[in-house]
Amino acid sequence: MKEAEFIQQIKSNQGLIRKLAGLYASDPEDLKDLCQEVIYQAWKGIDSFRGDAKFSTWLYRLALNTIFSIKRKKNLVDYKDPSTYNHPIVDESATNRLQSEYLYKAIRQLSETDRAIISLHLDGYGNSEIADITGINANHVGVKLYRIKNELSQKLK
Amino acid sequence: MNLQDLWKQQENTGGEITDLLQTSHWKKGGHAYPLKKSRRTCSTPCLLQ
Repeated sequence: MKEAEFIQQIKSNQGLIRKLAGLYASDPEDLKDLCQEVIYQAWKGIDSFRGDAKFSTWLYRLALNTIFSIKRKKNLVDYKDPSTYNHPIVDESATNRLQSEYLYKAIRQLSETDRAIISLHLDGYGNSEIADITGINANHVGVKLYRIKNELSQKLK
Repeated sequence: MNLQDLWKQQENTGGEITDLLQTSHWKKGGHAYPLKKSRRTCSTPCLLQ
């Protein structure tokens, strides 16, 4: 893939990168670092993208691997914001944006692995794909998803 | 709006990160670490600038 095409792909998928990185970084600078590192690693490993899967799928896997790797190396402060995630959605007229924020904050409170699993699930990946990307047994993915959804519904009540 | 739609909506929040394409040395391995320091102090001209 040539540089111009790569940049275009990154631009097309920047929301995905930011969304995933934001699940694992609380500090705005750490967030930028994670995004930067994902872009850098993507460029470094672009030859491994052969086009047999969607670029976003390839990037998703790379982003999660990169984020987990960086967090292990740099011991980034995990996202903790208990004062905001547990605000219940009691106003039925709340905007979708607000509900989206609540969902995002609730997901941030999950374990690192669970965050990856539910984000993949919500982005439409099947259990076998999630298993392939995360390295978790597909049956176990199903079990974990069931538990994660219950946990999320409790948080969002 | 279901959870998938709410989740997808998060991709449209938080502003652009494409400025990192201009300001970071994403193409040069030696300048990628440590990230914060490189972004703030590295004086090597970015290839995209």
